[in-house]
Amino acid sequence: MLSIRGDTTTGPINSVMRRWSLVILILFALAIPVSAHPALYHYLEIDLLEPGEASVYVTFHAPELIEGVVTPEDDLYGREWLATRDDATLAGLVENADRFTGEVFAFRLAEREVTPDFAFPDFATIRRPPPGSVVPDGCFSGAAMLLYTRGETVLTIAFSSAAQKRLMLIINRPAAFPEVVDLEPGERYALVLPEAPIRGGVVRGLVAVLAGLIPILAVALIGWRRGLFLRKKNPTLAG
Amino acid sequence: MKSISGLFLVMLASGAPLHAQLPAGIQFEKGPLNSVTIERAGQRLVIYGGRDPGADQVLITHVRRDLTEFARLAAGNSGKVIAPVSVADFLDYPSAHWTAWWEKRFDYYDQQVTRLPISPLAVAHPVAGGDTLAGPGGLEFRVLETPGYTREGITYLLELEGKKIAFSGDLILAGGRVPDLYSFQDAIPEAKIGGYHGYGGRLGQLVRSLETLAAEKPDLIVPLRGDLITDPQGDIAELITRVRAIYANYLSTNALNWYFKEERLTAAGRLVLGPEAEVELMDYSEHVDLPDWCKHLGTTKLLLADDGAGFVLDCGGPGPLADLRKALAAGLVTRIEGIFVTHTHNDHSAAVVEAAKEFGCPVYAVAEVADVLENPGAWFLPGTSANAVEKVTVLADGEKLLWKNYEFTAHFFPGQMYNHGALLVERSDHTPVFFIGDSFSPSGIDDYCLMNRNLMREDTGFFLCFKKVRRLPEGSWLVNQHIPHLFRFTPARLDLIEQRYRERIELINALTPWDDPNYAIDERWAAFYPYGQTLGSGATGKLELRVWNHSVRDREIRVKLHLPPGVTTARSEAVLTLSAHRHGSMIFPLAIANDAEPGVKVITADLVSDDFDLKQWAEALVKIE
Repeated sequence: MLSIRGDTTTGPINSVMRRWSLVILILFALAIPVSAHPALYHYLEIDLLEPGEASVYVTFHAPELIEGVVTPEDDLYGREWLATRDDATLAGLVENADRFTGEVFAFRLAEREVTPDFAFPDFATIRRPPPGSVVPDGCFSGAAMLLYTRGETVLTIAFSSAAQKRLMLIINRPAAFPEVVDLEPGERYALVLPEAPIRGGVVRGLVAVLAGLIPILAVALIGWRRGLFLRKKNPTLAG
Repeated sequence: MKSISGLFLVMLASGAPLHAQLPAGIQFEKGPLNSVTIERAGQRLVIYGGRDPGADQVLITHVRRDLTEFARLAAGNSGKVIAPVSVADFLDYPSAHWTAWWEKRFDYYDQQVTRLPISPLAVAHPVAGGDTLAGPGGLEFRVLETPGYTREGITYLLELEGKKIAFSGDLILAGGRVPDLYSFQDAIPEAKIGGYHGYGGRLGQLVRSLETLAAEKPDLIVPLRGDLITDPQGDIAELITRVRAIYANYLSTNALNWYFKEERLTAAGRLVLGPEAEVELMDYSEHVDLPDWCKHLGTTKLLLADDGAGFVLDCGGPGPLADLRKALAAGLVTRIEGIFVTHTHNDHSAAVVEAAKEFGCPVYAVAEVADVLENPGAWFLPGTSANAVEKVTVLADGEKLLWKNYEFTAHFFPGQMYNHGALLVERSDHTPVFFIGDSFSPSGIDDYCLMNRNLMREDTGFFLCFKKVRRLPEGSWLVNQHIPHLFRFTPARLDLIEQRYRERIELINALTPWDDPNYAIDERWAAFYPYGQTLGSGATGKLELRVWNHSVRDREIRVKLHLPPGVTTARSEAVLTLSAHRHGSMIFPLAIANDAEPGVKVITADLVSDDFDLKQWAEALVKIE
């Protein structure tokens, strides 16, 4: 059985996961269904569209990621705020977003703690989301993928009591309305996962081929359209 | 009821004994806007403005267009205007603001008062807190940063003949009052609350500014409007007490506690109430999951009929619209047969036009919502989407609509905003559910944005909503579009909310000089319709001024238009007589000259009644093409 694990922080599998995340982000930048009025909730969305995979998206209301007190100004929480931030500010926001996810969300697959490795759009995309994007004004999103094995049937999401506002957890399954869970800070939710497939043999081979193709595909796409893709947590890697 | 106490009165200085307390050499003229003149060594310094042109220096404390026009009169062509540094660039080139405002007024959530200057006013000497300004004859003015009523507010301190005098603009009025409450709407970054949710967002700054001013121990404060303040310490203390009472009252029944929780709201509260203050918040009312026939898709609620058809409440953006498409594609709903729009904020309405076209379904709303949907550019309200809906079927207040296994009853429901409706949904297998848009949450009322026009009157606003909720069948549930729950208040909880709201009316009444507190919370009690319109050169059009007399007495209001070059009217002055609590309007024809310069132009109107004289109060935009 292929041991693609949900824990993506260490080990050789991590690079495969990053490539998966890259592909996910390409999709999510165009499709993440987050409602407007982003200031009211934190948003966490989990797609369970393929057995064995949980795609995780978190949407950040960017001005709330700023440390310390900012001076009131026009459009402080509006659509132009992100567009007018400089690179250093955006780098700080991305760094804070990444830290925020680690501080506010805790994920556990069965008995195993997992730490999603969130990837973020590059600065140009954060400033001006591409046409068709539904990321709300003043927001940007991070995405990660958790892979789980056949024995792991529940993903527990713990929402920190220090989160300062509620969480709208949205779970998407094939051919079903989104399941919406409204969590208070300090609450947790046990998400029942679809049974993962038995991975091995042919599946393992397909995954290996796909993993090899992804970098080529990504490079081609980046050449096609700079600005849509990922900025990892280290902003110096930005394209 | 109270009188306006002279704070906005057209009064002349003669015979006013308080003026005698000013040192000799300071001339004070009381009017709609007060004027101070100091002449020394052949130089004339004016504070605020005045009718005599040619002053050598004119000091202004903040930026509102009545003040800047008053200053312009005094400055004439050669006077030097001294103004807060943060607004100097704006005053140099205000047309840049208005040109951008043509677009920016849509989807707008900053909620700042729009009575800004239209014409440039060159600032010779921008000043900031800590500066010292040299006046004529060796006078020295110290500058204090005193934001609150405006972001940029400053105070000039002058010591003369053993007296310390503060010129503080609109920071405080005599008797411990302020001109209105809506001007304090702003973001509260310390609590991570945006301008739209920032009721009294600058009250914390006001308190700090007042404390700063009190520490200077002025003998006298000369405000921009109304009487001199001869007991600065007493009036400052009174004002701080009043705003703290209002803010504590507001927080105690606030809907945001559902979303933002205790930590943020306590942080906001302590900025006004004090660093150790206990902040009272309402706990949550009973709430349960939505029934299976109601789906939560962002700010959209989808009602499912037994035969698989769907009826939508609100469609605010591409996210919910995408969800609806996916549901249709997956066969989870067979078709969408109608859209009811609860209110006009863009997160509830921006995608309605696209959804209605795509699904081929009618759009329903109450009249107060329908016109904003069809003519969004004619209104200036928070978060108005520019996406006009071609046709809205207006449902009267109380009108029923039978759909599948449902009975709907439309309601005018001026809660979160005046242009707001609600839909009572009844089906035989469930307790009635009242979809109230964004008007309540399990922790209270959505009254955090004054620009939404939450009128505090027994016959409308939240009081009307309270009445409608009380009349619901026993056990009925409420639904907020943002919240995936049914919830309901006990009668005792509703009593508490209503009692607190009633108390707040009295607190606001004491805070401001108006004879009815609704003038203090309703920025748009006098507003042009359409707010924005496009006219070609040589074209004609019309402009309607809609006025709501909030007073409990009849009013005669004289109106005078100020027109930009290239725009004329056959009638630039008119009189409107309104009965108590009634609204009315007057129409002005407009003509655009053939050689009118293209661009965004601003029309304003003076409003004069027996006890107020408001210069360039209301505004409208005309884009000449």
